[in-house]
Parts: sequence; C-alpha cells; structure tokens
Amino acid sequence: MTSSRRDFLKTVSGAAAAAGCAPLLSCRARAAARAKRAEPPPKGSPESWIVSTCGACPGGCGIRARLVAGRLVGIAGNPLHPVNRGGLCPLGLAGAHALYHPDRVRGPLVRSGAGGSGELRPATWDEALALVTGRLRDLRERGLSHTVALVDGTRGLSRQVAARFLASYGSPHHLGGRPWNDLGPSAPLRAMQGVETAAVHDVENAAFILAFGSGWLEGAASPVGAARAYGIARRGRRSGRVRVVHVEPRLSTSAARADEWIPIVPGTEGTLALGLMHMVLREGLESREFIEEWSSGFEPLRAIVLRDFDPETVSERTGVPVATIIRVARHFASTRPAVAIGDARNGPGAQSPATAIAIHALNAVVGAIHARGGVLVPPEPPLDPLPAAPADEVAARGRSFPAISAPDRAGGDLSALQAWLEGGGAHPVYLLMSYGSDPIAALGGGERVRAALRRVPFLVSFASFLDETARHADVVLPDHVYLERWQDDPTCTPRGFPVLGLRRPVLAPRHDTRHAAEVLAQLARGVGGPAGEGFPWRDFVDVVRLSVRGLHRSGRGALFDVPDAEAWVVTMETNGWRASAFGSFDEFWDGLKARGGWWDPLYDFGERGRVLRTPSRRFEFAPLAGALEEHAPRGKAALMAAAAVPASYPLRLHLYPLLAAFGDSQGPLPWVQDVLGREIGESWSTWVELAPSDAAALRIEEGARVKVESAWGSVEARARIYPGVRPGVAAMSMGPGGAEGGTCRRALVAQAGALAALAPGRAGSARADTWVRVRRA
Amino acid sequence: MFERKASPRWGMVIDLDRCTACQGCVTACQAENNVPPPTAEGAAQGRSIRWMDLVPNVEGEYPRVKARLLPRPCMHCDNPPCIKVCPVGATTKGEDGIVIQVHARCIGCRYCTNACPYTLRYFNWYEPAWPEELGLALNPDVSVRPKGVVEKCTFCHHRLQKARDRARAEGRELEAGEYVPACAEACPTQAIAFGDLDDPSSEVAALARSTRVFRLLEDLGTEPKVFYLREG
Amino acid sequence: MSPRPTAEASALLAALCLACGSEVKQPIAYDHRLHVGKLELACDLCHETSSGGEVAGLPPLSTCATCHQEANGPSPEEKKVVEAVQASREIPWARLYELPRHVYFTHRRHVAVARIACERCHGEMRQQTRPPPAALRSLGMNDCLECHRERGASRECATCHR
Repeated sequence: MTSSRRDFLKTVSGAAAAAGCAPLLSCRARAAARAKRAEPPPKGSPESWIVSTCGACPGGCGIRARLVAGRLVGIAGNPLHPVNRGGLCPLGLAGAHALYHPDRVRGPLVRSGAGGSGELRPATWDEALALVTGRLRDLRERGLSHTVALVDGTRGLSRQVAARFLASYGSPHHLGGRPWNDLGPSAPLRAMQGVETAAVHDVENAAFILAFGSGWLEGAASPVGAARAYGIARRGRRSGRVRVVHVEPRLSTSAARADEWIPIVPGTEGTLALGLMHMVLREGLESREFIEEWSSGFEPLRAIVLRDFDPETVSERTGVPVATIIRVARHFASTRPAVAIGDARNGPGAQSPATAIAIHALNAVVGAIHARGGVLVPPEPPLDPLPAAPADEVAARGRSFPAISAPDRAGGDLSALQAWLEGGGAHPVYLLMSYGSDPIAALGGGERVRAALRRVPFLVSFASFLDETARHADVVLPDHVYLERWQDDPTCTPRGFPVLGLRRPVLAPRHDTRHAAEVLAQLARGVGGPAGEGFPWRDFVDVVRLSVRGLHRSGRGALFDVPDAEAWVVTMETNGWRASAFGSFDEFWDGLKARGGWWDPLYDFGERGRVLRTPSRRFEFAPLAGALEEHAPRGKAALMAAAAVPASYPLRLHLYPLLAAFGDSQGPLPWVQDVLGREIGESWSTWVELAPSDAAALRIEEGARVKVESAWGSVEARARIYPGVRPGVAAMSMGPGGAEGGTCRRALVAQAGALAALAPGRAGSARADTWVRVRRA
Repeated sequence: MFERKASPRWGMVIDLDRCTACQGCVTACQAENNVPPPTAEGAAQGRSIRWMDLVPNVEGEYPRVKARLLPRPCMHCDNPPCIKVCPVGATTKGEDGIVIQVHARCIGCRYCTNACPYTLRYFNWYEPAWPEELGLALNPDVSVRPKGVVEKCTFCHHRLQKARDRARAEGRELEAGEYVPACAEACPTQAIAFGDLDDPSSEVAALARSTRVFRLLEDLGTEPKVFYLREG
Repeated sequence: MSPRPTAEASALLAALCLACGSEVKQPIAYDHRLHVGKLELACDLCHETSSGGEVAGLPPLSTCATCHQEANGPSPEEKKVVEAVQASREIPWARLYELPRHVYFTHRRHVAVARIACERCHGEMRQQTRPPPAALRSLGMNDCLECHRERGASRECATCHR
C-alpha cells in the first residue's frame, strides 16, 4: 500500500467519517484493486539466491540473483568470483531489466514484407526452423555450402558449437562479431609473440601506468575487473600507490582519475609511443636483458626510431610538448614495473593495429612483457575439447573455398564481410546467420552497411532483442537472455589467472525462446549428413559438463573461494600438490554451480615457450620495423603531411566509450541510459563536445543545436562546451546502438546513428581520420 | 530486550583515490530502492531521482583542467537542516544517526529539498511507472513512493531492519559488515566503506581519522556522517 | 525525536477504511474455537511462521492433512477439507491482514523476541466459530506506539517505516 496522505488529501476532503475497519491492517481486496500498479512480491514470500555469471557485457563478472516469489528482484556481485569480488557495474546491476525488458523477442519471427523491409510476423518454432533447415539443406545439396556464413559474437563452447556446425556443414566463413569490449586475440600478440589470445595488463602490480587512447577503465575488456585492479593499485597494496598518466584527446573519466592527463591529437598515440621509445633508447634506459635474451629484430627498429621519432618531430605531430615527452619517457623507463596500456576495443573508434603494435613494442623495450606488473598472456583453462567434428566430401569441398576472413580477427572480420559483400568477394553469400552479434550496428549501421547486408538473400538472427540485424532478418530464432541459459564463460583476471565462470539459468525462460547453441544443433540434425551426427548431446548443459571434466581431471586450480583461500591454493600448487579436494566429478559440478566457477591463481613467469610462439621463439620487433620501413621513403615529410588539416572539415572526430554503454546483447536499460554521460551532465541526448576556443570561433553557445558534418553525412547534436577537449577536436560518445523504435533506446540510437552518418562502414578506422565540421543547425 | 547499549553511529567513508566513477553505486541504489526508471523528459528537466549520484565538477582551463567526480549519497548530517523545516515531522534523525524520510507522512511541501545544502533530496514529480514487466523486478523490502512526496537516501535502512532483526532473533549483537548499503556492496573498487563511526575498531572509524579526509560544506556546521578521502 | 500522531493523521487513518469496504470470504468456515479453544492447538501449528518469520503464514494443505485424511465428524465444512486433502488441492485461504508497504514488521521480532501474545493484536480469535469478515481489532499507528511506549521499545520512525 503506497497511498495514504495524498490520496486522503485529494479524495477525502469533505468525505464522511469512517467505519471501523482496520486501517493499518488493510484487507486483501484493496491490494487487488490496485493490481494495475507495479507491486513488489507479497511480504513474507520465500527468498532464494542463485549464483551465476553476468552476461550483460563480455566482462565475465560473477553475480548472485535474488529471487522472491519466482521473481528476479535484485542482482548483486558474487563475492567469491575473482574477477569482480562482489562488485558490479551499472549494466550488471540493471540486469533484471534486461530479463523483463518489454522489447524482448517473445518467439520466432518470420519476414512478412518484401526483402529488407524489416516487417516480421510471429511464427511457430516448427515453421521457422523448417524455413532455415530447408534453405540450408537446399544450398548444401546444390554444392553451395560455402555460401553460408556465420557471424559469431560468443566465446567458449558456444563458439565451438558454431564452429562445429560450419565444419560439418561445409562452410569456411566463421566470422568474429564480438562486442566492443570483448577483445579477442590481440593484434600485437599475434604479430610479435605468435600467440592467439587477448593480452592483459597486470595493473594490480604496476607502479606506473601509461594509458593511451580512450578509457582504459571504462573501455576495458572487463570494466569491473579493471576498476578492481585500479583500486588495489591505488590503495589496496603494501607496495605503494600507482602513478597513472593518461594520453587522450579528451578528459575522460579515466583521464580525470589519472595523476596526469596528456591531451593528444586523435590517432597519433602510436607516434607518441615511438617518440617515448626514442627517448628511452637515446638515454639508454631500455631493458638490455629483454632485448638481448628474449627478442629478435630490434636493431633495424632502433635505427628507424632514432632517425625519425625525435621529440621535436613527434611533438609537432602529436601536439604533446617536447618537455612532456622527455619527462614521461624517463619516468616510464626508470619506474619498475611500468606498463603501457593501449586501447584494444573492437569496432568503430578502435585504435589501429599499427598503434597497438607500437605501444606493445614500447612495453617490450622496457621489458614489461610476461613480467610482473606488465603485459601478460593468460593461459587457457584446461577444458576438454569437444570430439572432432564429423565431415564428409561435401563438407571438405565447402571448407576448401577461400574464407572471408581468417577466424577470429577481432574487429577486422566484419569490415572484411562488408567489403566481400560490396563486391570484393570470391563468391556470393546466400545465407548469413548472426549469433550473439549485431553486425549491422557493429559496422556502424547506416544505409551503406544495410545495403551491403541486403545483398544476402537470407538472413537468420538469434537475437534476444530486435536489434538492427534482427529487424532485417528473414527469420529470427530468439535466444534466451543470459539470465535464462546455461553457458560457460572463460575469461581471466588482470593478473593473468585463467577463470571459468559458469552461467546458469536463474529463472525458467520467460518467453518462447530457445538456447541458440541448441537451435544450431537442431538445424544441423535437420540438414542431416555429418552435420547431424556432430551433435549427439541432449542439450547444452551436457556440452558444458563434458568440457569441464577437463578442469576436474587436471586437479589444477580451485573452485571460487574467499580471497584468503588464494594463498593456500598457490602454496599447494607451487609445491606440486594437486587439489584432490574436488572429490568426484558430480561433487565438482555441484561446487561449480554453488560457487560460480573455477580458477587457477597461478601465473608461471618461467614458462617462456607458451608466450613466445614465433618461429624464432623470441619476441619479434620486425612487424613494427617493417611497418615503419614501408613509410620510410617519405619519412618525416609523410608524418607531417598526415597532420595537415583539411580546410573544409577542420575538426577531428574523437569517439570515446562510456562504460554504461557496453554490451550490445540487450536492449538499453533506462537506469543505465540515465547515467551515461554523467561527467558532462548529458544522458538521453546526442551531444558533441567542443573546446571553448573552438566554440567561440564557431559562435556556438552551450546547449545549442548543431550539425556535425563529415564528408559522408551529418548528424544533429547538442553542443556542449567542455574545457576537457583538446582544441581542434569534436568529441562524441559511442553507444552500441540498436534498432530504432524500442521503448528505452532513443539516445543510444542517436549516437549509433551519428557514427553511421559520419563514418559509414568504416569500422576500425573511424578514430584517426574522420574529419568533421560543426555549425549551428 | 530492546537495544539498551549505546546506539551505533552509522557513517560512510568514500575513498576518491579508489573510485573510478563507474556509477555502479548509482544503479545499485536505484535497483535496491525501487527508484522508478527515469525518462528522457524527466531527465531533461533535472527530475531524475538518484539517491546516490555522481556529481561532476570541472575546473580550470585547457590544458590544466581538473575534473572531480564525486559519488554523493545523503550526508546523514548529525545536525541536519532538513528536519528542522519539516512541518509534519516526516523526516527525522534516529538514535543511530540515520536521517530517515517517512514517505507516508510527507505532504510534499519541499521545504526540506530547499533546506538541504547538498541538494540531495528528491521530489517525485511523476506517478511511479514501470514500462510493462519491468515492475516485476521491484524489491519487496522497500516501499514504492507515490507521486508528490520527497525521498532520499536512507543508508538502505531496510537492510539494517532485517539484519538487526536476524541478530536479535538469534540472541546476538549485530556484527560488523552484516549491514551494508547497496552502493557499498556493489562498488567494484571497495571505495565505499560503511560502518559504526563510534566503534574505534571499525574500518570507517579508522579511515575517518585519515589525513586525507574531508567533508562537504563542513563550515555550515551540518556535521555530515559521509566522509571523503582525497586523491594522492 | 518521537513521531507526533496529529489529529489529522488519526482522521487519515480512519478514512482509509472507506476504501476497503469489502468483506473477506474464506473458502471454508474454519472454527478457531474448536481448534484453538477446545483442542488447544498452538497458533503456530497452522500459522507456521508466526513466531519466527516475517508474516504469520497461512496453513498449507499438508498441515490440514495431518488430521483430516478422513472425516472426524459430520461437519459439512470439514467435508470440504477432506475433499481438498484427498484431491491434493491446496485450500485458497484468503489473507485477512496486510500491512502497508512502508511498514516494516516481523512476527519474529514481536512474537519470538518480545513474546507478545497473539491476542494483543489479533483479538480473541480462539473464541471465533466462523472466520471473521474483517480483522477483529482495528489497529492504527497509535496502537503500535502505545505498546512500544508501554514496553520501552523504540519509537523512532525508522524503526518501523521504510
């Protein structure tokens, strides 16, 4: 009962005196009369907590879901989970709204209008599955299995199931479509260390952090994990407080939290990294041990860096004062351990691979690779692999066709898909499936991207929300949301410890949705042949159980536990004892469910072979030297030419992430939307930030409606004058975007729209070279 | 049988050196306390309700710009200006120092929102509304406030009621850490410490003695029980 | 600071009953006098969480089934119970008491800790031969405060309000 005084003041004035019914102990009928208003569950309803893993973004935090009377009434962090230790970010905390979101897809949908019209009608599972199975079978029978592609934003076993499907079906096109902060294999690790995994930065143990690009805190692979490590590095350890220097064109939240902010010309972070390397080398502060014993190909790089990247040149190009370059270089090289953090996000606004490689090389030069407080390569959890996928001749033939992209090329996959569809492909794509991914939005949306995707005659989406791709799909086979499904969630901590989180349903599915991995298996069985034989499992839990047997058998690591237990596990393991405490497999499985997962709190700094898998078994500087040599004939002149400002578009567009805008697997949530741009006091609008001097020159007032225009298009926004923006830069935040028309998604759409308009179909390159002009609307 | 021993003095210490301004505390509070989902219209008029808010303050000129992002709950002043102006006694300070709002008594005059020097009291401008099924996620421990009343941070007082009740039924005293507000529980960096300021062995009491400590608008004599620790 | 229940507030509380009006009907005319008065069954035999929980709770079918697998007498009301037991069909007891959302109250605190007799709030239920259509005792905040005053319990707003 929530009304009292006001209802009284409104309605009772002048009403007759009352009869003698109990006022505080009101009767049930009254509650029923008010049933239309949202009411919490009745008092005294039984309460339970279920441990699971958050899936709002790829961060992999542990959660505890609070259930009262069969309703999810709260989400808290799992204090045992080593990634977040009980903490959570706004997205995770608003998870119940994702479950109960009005925009969820409530059952299968089938296109009802013309192709690409986005008109969908409800269908039964039988009908929708028959449509997709029919297409798949037909293509395979006609020897066109290689024209099927799958964009995959998942990881772990879900990804393996998708890969299996394609292997048995006969398609080479397994494309990465990861959410923005799910890093995937890092470009520098692949190029310089020959390792196919994401890099992590041991922030917890670093004494000096040099962060390049936007938002290493809010844009981290696991924002909560990064924040926790930051808190420890600042105030939670005996070795003293970390010093943080942040390089970014805008005073972001990360920059505001740093000890020093270095504003830089957008897209020149790599040049600054090389300028710093120049000073390190010139002053002889490099780690000779690492360079001599661990690396190869350093001398050519040294020559180029010393020749081309003197502080004066670099200062002119990056806008960072010479004195700052010298000071930061000295500080970085003489503080141990120090680590440089690049910005490894995918998609629009991402740092170029060349920049990431330059930053990684800077770490190598000071010996911060595979070292405490440096860049670590997390080992994989010892899971059992699924048995080999059966294949026949059709499958083998299909697999022999050229692939759109090598598997899992982080952000590059989708650009490659777009280029392929726009005419650069060796063969057409007749059927495209998107799983855990929204390729249209991830490519920045916009007409050009949509047109490219429309060239695919049959589009299948497994989306839980009607995202942009789902709207254009021919069939939507809705997945459960993360709170309703079983899944493994392999991740790691910032200290490089492998973690396997277990995601389990906290509630039965609310709508007529199905686990997408199980639907893939069902499609495979429908197609028949080897694809059908490849999925002998009853459901996805069986797959998870099968795979985690490897953890149990290895005897390594431990179930999640209180922080104090970590030291015990480490002592056991370093003495070569195995934790037989797991008991039988069933006990281990029950433990996984009760605690939330498994981890191994040990990082072996001795095992060099695992982290250096190049042919030379050494750290290779050659990829960077090679890239620089390519530009060498033009040398300094080329660097300077790149710095020229085009006359008609005088401002550089800087796109930055907002922590709360992560996770494109769900609809936007109103609480999260409301905290989006709190540092500048904007949340529900599209805004562009301008430096006071630029705004004055353009005669743009605070709050004015403006048009931001690029060579490709324009978007309307609210002008915000922010002294924390470098002059010459127009800064805009990115949202993951999504389809228009939903209940709570206005502003995010506007921001995604901004990207589409200003840098259409230019995923991965938008940051450095999108020039804009801003004028009053 | 009922509490006879000296009542605790609940207080909070927020370490700005740990805080990353992620706003987990803001959302945790809204979810815990059944704050209605904000709308674009409400936000445009500054009517969003955030008992715990991240308050931005940008100072200086480029390139020497400083931005301070301050998580700000109710200060639960020992000398609260808000309760003095309430004409109906709808806001009171308890023995344990928590300044509480009794929504059922509030007549919505908003004297208190004006009296609060921290502007952290919020008026319900709208009928509380949850789009369709979002209302299923309501927390049964907290009442839904109607349109026309003022609300504010209660240090998640309902959690204290439950924790105290459990301890009493088990015939023991409340243990440290048994009662923690939602914001402190959710903080990824453990920047928010909460506990009994009068218990010299508590973490908050120790932190409140830090040399880095400051309080907001201390010169007004409000005696806030929320302490901040500055960076550096 | 203790609350000040003004004349206006009392009028308000009385006025709330206007909205109520309707009677609560129970599916079966349960005889409290027979069960509690004559057979001397304890209240918390049926209202299981009345001493340790938040709400007192309504009896589940399994509780009725301990005695009413078969009819013990000729009562037509008992026959309904037996039918429900034999069909394993829960009896949809209607809840008579519901506190407003903004009040925090647990039976645990008042019954298990403070040992307040049930009658103090619920009246002489043991004398009732038929289910009352409304609460026997009309309780307002004043009643809560009076008892808290008598027993020296906290009278702060925050003790009960949320």
